[in-house]
Amino acid sequence: MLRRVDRTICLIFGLVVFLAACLISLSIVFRETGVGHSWIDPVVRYAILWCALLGLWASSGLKQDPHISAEMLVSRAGPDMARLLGVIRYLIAICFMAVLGYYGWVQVANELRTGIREQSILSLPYAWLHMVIPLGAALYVMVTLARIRDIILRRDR
Amino acid sequence: MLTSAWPWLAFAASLIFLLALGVPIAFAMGFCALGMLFVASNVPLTVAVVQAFSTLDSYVLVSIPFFMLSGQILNLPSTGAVLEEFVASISRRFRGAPAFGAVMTCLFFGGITGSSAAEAAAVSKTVLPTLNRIGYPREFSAAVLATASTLGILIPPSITMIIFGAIAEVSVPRLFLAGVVPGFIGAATMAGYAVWRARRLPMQEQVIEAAPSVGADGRRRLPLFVRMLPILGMPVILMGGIYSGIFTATESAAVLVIYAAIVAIFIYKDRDPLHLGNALRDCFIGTMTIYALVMGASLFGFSATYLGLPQMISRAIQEMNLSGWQFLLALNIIMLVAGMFIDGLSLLLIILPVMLPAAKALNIDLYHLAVVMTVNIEIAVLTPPVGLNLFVLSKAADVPLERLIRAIIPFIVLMFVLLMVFSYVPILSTWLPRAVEF
Repeated sequence: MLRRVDRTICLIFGLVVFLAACLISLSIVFRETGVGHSWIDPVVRYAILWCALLGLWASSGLKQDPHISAEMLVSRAGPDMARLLGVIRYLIAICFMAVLGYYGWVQVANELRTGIREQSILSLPYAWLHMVIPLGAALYVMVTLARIRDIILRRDR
Repeated sequence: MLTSAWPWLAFAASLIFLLALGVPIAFAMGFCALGMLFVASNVPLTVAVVQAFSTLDSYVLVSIPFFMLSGQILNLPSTGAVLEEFVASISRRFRGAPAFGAVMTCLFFGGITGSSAAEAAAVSKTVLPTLNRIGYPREFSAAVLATASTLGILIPPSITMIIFGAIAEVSVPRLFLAGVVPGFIGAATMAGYAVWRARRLPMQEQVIEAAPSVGADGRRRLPLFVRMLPILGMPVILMGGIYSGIFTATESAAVLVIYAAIVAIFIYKDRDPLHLGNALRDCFIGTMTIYALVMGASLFGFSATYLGLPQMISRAIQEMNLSGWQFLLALNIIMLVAGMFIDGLSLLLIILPVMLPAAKALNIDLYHLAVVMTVNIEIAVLTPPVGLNLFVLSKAADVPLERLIRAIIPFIVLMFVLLMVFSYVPILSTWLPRAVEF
């Protein structure tokens, strides 16, 4: 079930990339015809950035982890050792994402409190834009914990 | 700022340990970088996190998903079939021509996908079946394709060059131009060697049977060329758009996506939602992987800069009185060794921020540096134990990794010779970007 959700999310985010390409192509037409289009550049940048960071969790649920890693040790290990290494690698990834998410949240909270900085073209507070860091990290941690549970319970085949 | 090398050795040891455990490179780099900042400095980690976000918030990086998507669309079955037929038609010309055709197809793909792994995956679907039918040994076909698909990161557009430009703050269109002459020299050398080897293989090429769709009299060559025209238009739109000043690199990538979609859906009539869905999904997965890598590398770069690693290396180079050529030799050795264990893009993201100040201090042209680093990355994706193209082709060609490694060694030697040429004849990289006005 989770795997199907992950695949769907990847598909939706892929569609966002396609729509972003349409918007950028449209901005060329706008530029040539003199219509204002300055909002397109930041919208596309943040849309792709948000998708990429939110989509990190979906990667953790895919059958084959798409992240680039050295598999030398894992590929030579027996099934039980490979499972143990799998749990360790996910735990380390969780630690990293948890730290990233925590400090991302601290930053967002600071920006919400002071409320000064905002993205000039979109007139959006940076706190909202930075919100993707704690959000993406939290999702990643939750999904990866479920993945670890599956590995431990041998439901990952 | 750290003055001793010991903390950095501890950092390197922890990074190697995490990589050996199979932790994704993006997370391992980020984890070690944050750990290093936490232990050895009093900088608030929020600053590092915002820095990573700012690096990802780049208009130049947006072109990466677009190039990936256009490559994926080009890889749809209908488009792939036209390309396969094209390779088969080239393969009829002379003995060894299939190998030539394979390298030329990789050169063409390189002009669209911008990534060697994407290109390796694409050509393994379109070219490999033809080479197999022709009768080449599988390991030879896989070795030719694994090597030639590295052209994707030298021939414009190149994701490696885009990332180099974003980090080193150099014009991406000019970086693309820097790769043109070395790319074509590389393609010519690879094609020459592949043909030479193919002619010595103890087999008869099954040419006529292999390409029944193309008539022996060549009468079908014109219709095939006409069918190929929409695909051949892609690099023209891309490069023409950028260098005529109509599009920026990112805009041309976006236009390429729309054009590729129109060609695939309306001209080649590939309307299977499953195919299109897979293309979108694979594009997103590739994008997310690269963004995660850039995020990890950005944290590493911030940590290294804040704690003074580039300055330490610059100082060491000054103390050793290294000249430009000695620096390049040292850079090549470091990248060749590290490239055996680290993926190509990660290699760039780790080495570039550290070496850039030293290269600038030695007045090394950044276009030249970009080409040298890119050729090193080309070698890195071919060298075991961690060679991405090796894995892709070994799986696609169903050849055991050990046999593929044996077959690819002469190609790696060839790439090494090319690396030396590009390292010590800088004009090959610097002439075009300086000569073209736009």
